[in-house]
Amino acid sequence: MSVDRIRNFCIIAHIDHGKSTLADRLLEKTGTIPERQMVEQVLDNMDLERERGITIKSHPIQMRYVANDGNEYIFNLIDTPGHVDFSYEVSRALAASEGAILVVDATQGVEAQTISNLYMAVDAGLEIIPVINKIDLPAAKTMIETVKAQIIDLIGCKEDEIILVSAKTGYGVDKLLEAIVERIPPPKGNPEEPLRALIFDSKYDSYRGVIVYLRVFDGELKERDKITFFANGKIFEAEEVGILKLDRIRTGKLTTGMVGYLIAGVKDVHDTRVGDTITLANNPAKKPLPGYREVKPMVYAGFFPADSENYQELRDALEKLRLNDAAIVFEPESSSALGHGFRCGFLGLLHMEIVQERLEREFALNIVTTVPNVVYKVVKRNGEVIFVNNPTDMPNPGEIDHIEEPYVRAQIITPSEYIGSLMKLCSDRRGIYKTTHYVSADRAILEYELPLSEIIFDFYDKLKSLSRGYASFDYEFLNYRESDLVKLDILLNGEPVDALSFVVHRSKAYDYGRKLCSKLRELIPRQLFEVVIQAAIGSKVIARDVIKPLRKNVLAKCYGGDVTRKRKLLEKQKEGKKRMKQIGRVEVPQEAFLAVLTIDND
Amino acid sequence: MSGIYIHIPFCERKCIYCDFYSVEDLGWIDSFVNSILREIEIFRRESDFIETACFDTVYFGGGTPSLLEVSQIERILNSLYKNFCISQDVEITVEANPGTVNREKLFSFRKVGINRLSFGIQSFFDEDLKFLGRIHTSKDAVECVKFAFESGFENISVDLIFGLPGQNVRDWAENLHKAIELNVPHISAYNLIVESGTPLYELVRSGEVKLPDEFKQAELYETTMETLEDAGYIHYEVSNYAYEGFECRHNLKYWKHENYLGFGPSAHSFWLNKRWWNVANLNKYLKAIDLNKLPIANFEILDAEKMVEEFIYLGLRSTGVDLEKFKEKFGFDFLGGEIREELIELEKLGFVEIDNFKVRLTRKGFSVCDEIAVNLISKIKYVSR
Repeated sequence: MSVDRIRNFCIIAHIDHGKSTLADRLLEKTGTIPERQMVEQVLDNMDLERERGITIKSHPIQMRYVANDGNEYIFNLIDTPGHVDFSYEVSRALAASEGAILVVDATQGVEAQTISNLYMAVDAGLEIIPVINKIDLPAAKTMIETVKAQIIDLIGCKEDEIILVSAKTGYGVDKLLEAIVERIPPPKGNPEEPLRALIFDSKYDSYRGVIVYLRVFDGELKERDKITFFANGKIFEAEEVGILKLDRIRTGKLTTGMVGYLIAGVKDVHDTRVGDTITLANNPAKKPLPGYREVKPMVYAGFFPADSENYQELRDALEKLRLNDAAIVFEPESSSALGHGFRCGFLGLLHMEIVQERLEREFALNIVTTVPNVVYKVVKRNGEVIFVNNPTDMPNPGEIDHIEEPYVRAQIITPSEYIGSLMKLCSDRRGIYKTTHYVSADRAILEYELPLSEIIFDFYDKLKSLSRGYASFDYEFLNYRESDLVKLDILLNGEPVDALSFVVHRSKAYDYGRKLCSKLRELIPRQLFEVVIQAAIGSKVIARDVIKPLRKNVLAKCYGGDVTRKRKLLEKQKEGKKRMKQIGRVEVPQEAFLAVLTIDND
Repeated sequence: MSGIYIHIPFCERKCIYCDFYSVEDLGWIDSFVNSILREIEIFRRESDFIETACFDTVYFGGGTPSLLEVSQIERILNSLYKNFCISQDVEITVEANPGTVNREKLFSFRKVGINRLSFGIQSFFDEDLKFLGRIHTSKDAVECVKFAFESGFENISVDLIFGLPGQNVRDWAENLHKAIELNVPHISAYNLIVESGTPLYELVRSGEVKLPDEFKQAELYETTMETLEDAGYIHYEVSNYAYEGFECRHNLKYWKHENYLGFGPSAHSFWLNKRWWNVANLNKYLKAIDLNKLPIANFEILDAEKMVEEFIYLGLRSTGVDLEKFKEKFGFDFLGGEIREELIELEKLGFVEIDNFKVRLTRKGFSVCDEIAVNLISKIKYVSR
């Protein structure tokens, strides 16, 4: 088919605004999937994704559509991950498209997530088709005009370019299909040039190795071609090439403008990095496609098996997850408090939660995690620069010239009545105010620069509770900046607990130290001896609390009938004790290692 | 040597704190006694394993065993003698409520071979007795003990309870001293336990009754140990104190993991590594016996791990974990391996004493016995040996 008849696009939407339902409707209307085979939200095929209503991994899918002009068109829908942690993956999916359908919930309006992805799409030069979804809902009636105004304000489109849709009932979908044909330009690219194909995703299959999802920009890709990747120069042979409908369909080649898959005997997803360019080994393109960068983890945490005997299982499970997730990094970590485990790096907190949940669900592992932290850049007195992803590795204060921490640019979109309290939240989190932009009379975008460490836990929850759920938030990495940071250590009966150390801004250290000590006093059960909890910066103790020793715990009567009952109770307590971690002689329950997350930050 | 326990599930009135099984309908006593006799016979018929066993303790507990006529107790004793090998120097205990016995009854008890009495006195303050729901007065209690001595009983025990609402150390010490003045060779002093399902539980839950806090309870317990040990009693179990040689031989079997048989509703039996217990319901009990069946509700077989755990726990509660016995029973050293370090640490902290024969709790250790037990059993590793 001619390149003119190809339309590559993706859908940009906030969680719950109906992206998946709309995608399902497109698949149905184009006959890609017969109605009887439809499972709700076909594209999100991981259980976890369905449960959380988010898409973690993208799945391209091809549709054929006969337009009103009588011609048949190929639509390649490139699904995008729906969360800020995966924004680089989103940017590559956008780069593989010529157009984007912007979906906004008629009852919710535009949200921060949508805006940042939308800006990315606009920056990438994509044609935007604005869609207001859920217009069948009763609440939509009063909102549609406001939402239209927001969209016009954002992308500067004309009102009649906005398509009203109900993905649920199918209303407006035909009009949308036509708009895709009319408004989204066909792929550009030169069939005569050497092959250049963009990797926008890959996944690991235990039988076939890595399956690469790609978009051909120039030239064509055929089976038996010797191919290579720009990032690492490794050479593979294309074993199988094809397109994707619900399943893989082998076509033997992919021509300019097409989206499809490649199997080339690659055994490691780390060889097929998202954003990299594939070319021919014998006739390579001169330059890769623009925009590739190696994604680096932003957030680190220690993962330890709750039962130290499961160390090997945890390693195996992480190895397996890494096969499919090039963004996870991990290395062995040894903690005096928690034993042997791994220091793991993630794209963000959601990514971390997903990995943790998958370990628990798919591998039945019970994990103790330490408080997540960002990667600090430490400039030492001797001029050496190191990146520290574990507070334990922080050099002695005497060796440090200064510490830098990552900052992000954050956008908060909120009904105007919450601006005051959200600004206070941001300033409490050391945020630097940039601008306010009103998208409509009662809705504003606040822009802040914030230290990443201040938003990796509980910021989102706070934002939601302060705005009764109406505000939304998105961020992107900005740069490293010098900050007055200190490492806070926690000591139990004089013994430092490495797994509880964390880095904090000096202005907050006293308050944190005090709150953490008192939280630990609640969480650590009384023992046979007094337990002194201290928070210290270097050798200086800044907060202290005491757990009084247990004075009495003995059953008064234990005769014939009591023994069984008492033994069962002891067995239960024994299991409880076995789950605790021992620090010196102090037994510490696992929850305590996340105590810092539960203290009130503000 | 093994023991026999007979549960007499009748009370004139239930005390507010008690969760032992009993009923207040005394009209059933006659048929109950007949059933006990039948149960002993059925058990004897079905159990070859006790052929070679010899028994040196019989314990009538309750409920209120002293509600039985002397003749009824005599019939039960006769049946035991007929069916089992009973040692010459058997210890026969009857629990007695001071409100249910007089001089004559105590005299007859002695005549039929009972040689140990355990009086449920609980307190020498009448307002305490009233609160607890006891049917006797402080005066009754003192008299009873006097009559018991006069009837020829030497081995007499009294039960006391501490940790009552508002109780202070002075009140409690006075109770202890009154018991000491009676010159009884054995005193059981229990910390009041709030058991679910009792009226006391409801009173505490609703906030109507407020018990002393943990620190107060600890103080009362420490006073008990100090006062009774100063008076010459040996502290041989968490709540039990005796002059040397007057330890309750029967109860020691519970704590030393020795064999015992129990008859009557809710009675527990333990033999080698098996424990079983009767239904805690008089009707069901009587019906089972009528059908010529043992009224067993359930049983458990203790594996090595459970045996070790119980042995440690019960040992700590009483006269200490006997090192030689432990090795003989389980084939490995109690002091060996992972637990050694823990024990040395506990010794340093003053909770246990270790010598060549035993690991036993100190006064400080007794107060937190259960915590120490959990510490130890969670550190022991069970390799099948």
